[in-house]
Amino acid sequence: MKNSRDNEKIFERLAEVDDDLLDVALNVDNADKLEKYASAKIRTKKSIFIKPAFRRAIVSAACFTLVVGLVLGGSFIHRINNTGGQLGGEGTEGQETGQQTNNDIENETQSGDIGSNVVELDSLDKINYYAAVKMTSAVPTGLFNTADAIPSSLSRINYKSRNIQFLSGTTDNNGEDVIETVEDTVIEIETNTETSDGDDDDYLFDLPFVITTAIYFETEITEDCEPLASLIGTGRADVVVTDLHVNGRPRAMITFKNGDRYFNCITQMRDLVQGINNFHSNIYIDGYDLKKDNSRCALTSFIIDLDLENGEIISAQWKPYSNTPTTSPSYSFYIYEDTVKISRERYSFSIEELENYYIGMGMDVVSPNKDEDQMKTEELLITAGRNEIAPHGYVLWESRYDGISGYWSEEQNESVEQWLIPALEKDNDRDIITLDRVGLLDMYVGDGGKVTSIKVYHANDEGKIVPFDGIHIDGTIYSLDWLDLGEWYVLITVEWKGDYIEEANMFESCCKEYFFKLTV
Amino acid sequence: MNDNIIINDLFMRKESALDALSDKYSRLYNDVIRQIVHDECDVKECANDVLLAVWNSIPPNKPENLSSYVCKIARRIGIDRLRYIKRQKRDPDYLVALSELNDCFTSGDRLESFDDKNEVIRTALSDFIRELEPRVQILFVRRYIYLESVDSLSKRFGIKENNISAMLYRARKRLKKRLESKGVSV
Repeated sequence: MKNSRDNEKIFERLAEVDDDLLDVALNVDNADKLEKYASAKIRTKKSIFIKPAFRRAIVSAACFTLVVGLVLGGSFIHRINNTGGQLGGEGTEGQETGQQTNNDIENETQSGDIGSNVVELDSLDKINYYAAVKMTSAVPTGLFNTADAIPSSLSRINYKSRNIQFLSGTTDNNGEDVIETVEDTVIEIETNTETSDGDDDDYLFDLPFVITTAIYFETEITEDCEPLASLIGTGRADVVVTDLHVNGRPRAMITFKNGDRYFNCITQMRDLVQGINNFHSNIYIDGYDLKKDNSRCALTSFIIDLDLENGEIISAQWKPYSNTPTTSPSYSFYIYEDTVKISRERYSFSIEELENYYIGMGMDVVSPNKDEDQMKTEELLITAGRNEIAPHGYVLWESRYDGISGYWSEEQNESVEQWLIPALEKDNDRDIITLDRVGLLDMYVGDGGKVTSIKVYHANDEGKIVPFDGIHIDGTIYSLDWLDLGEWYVLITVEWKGDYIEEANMFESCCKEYFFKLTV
Repeated sequence: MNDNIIINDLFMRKESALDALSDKYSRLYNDVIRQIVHDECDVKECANDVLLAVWNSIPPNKPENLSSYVCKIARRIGIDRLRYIKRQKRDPDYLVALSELNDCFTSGDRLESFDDKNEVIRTALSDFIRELEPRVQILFVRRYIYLESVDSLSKRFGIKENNISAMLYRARKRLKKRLESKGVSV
């Protein structure tokens, strides 16, 4: 049991910290001052973590260059800055203040932004970016790096099904590269409605992500590269490309980062492949949601030609869709060849592990937060005595009214019977949300939901997961109390009725499938 | 009146030195106190305590910068007063902030020889706070030293409450590790 008197002691000691810390906190009393204070602190951040061997090399080169510079009377500080290669910048604060030491090099990023020690993991594209940086041992401008590319072998954590998962090898690539039909619609394809049954503060920290291919490179964004230049600015930007799966469907994501601005887009239903990869700007990650917005970026694509076998990028372009009337020109990216890194080692991680990695490097990490917009109340809650789970809802279909075009759009996906159950059969170790029935079952359905079916499956002698009809299921969860000892799989289908659109005289609606394992 | 003269008079135990100090710096230290405790009665009480503290500490202290010295005293007295008020009223902000510090401990055991390590703790805490990311630093100090509520911080800085809670949570976890490394927690 925690002792409050000990807390009070820490409390008292906190009040005795250095006066300047107390002063500054008192003076920074609004958002503007906070931003100015934060910017000023980042600019004066001095040290960069450099691996010892690399540091020795820099010191040696610096000493040599210093001597040469003194002899030649040249700009030796500029040469020292460029010695680090990827770390170098055009100008440094060390140059201005004269505080350059053997172990410290101060620099600014090539993009013109000041180097930052803040790692943001508060959205999926950023998690994607920082995981790829770790995997590839990239050294982005202004970011620390330990140059250790080997991903750690991480133990699997209890799987909490999510909308968007970085997975590999669990589903089949449908092999199609479908060019979208142009529609003026904004569709929210999936939303994160998962909740935690653990410590709220630790939610999202134990979700496993897996990346099998990560590509990092740096490119130059000029004013000609619209709309990217308007979105993230011009200059030298970092780019990462990784694979991911959404609802069992393979996709890949590309993320541009310029300072603290990010931009991402997603492929249409395919993994990264050897050769041409087409990332559509109208499909993207927003926070933890996958979105589709045909008005985004005037329907353009990022097309990258990859030679995965040799670890090379053949070309990269930004261009409009071929079947749009826009006359925007294509833009060919200049790629800094010495920055290209490709990793094909499978990397499985949780957000906490990634966070700890960067904290260990002295970075300040902004982690995902429990945000009311992201974390809705449970759609479906299953209880069994003291145990409870909130299985993830996989969208089977949804219908939305499009206020722009005036017609209904539908998104249809495969049932979990067609992709998740086969995946389970293939991978016995795959984690799945599990309910241990220690008491009678009960179920809570959120507002607007109606259970349309409950199905039970079990694994037969051949390891196939097949429907079980040994009990009569009356459409309620209570009938599952009759299940014998063993392991069962349950699929609950719920139709959700959303907003009423008076003009169209219809309801927005969707149908979701909730799948979990039940142990008796 | 010149600061050196005030200090000399304090050394000579002349009470007129307090009048001179009050004339010159009362507005300054009242403002410092008012930022911490907002009730005017409490401000007045603290202001009196500031003069008493200066009288009791000079001599032996001989500050080089009298205004900074007085402000430092005023701030400490203000913080002590704030904590006293909140503790007496069992203020939720105080209690919640206190309970949040549970995250800084590994187990439920008492902190052994905590009192022997006051200076170590103080230095470790100062270093820890200094190394925090700037935004987190400000939030942390305001939350756990000035006892500002998360709701108030959210309104003041325009940061969502959940984000603030998460940032403080991570900071507490890191503080725990720091205390462990200093041999403080059990």
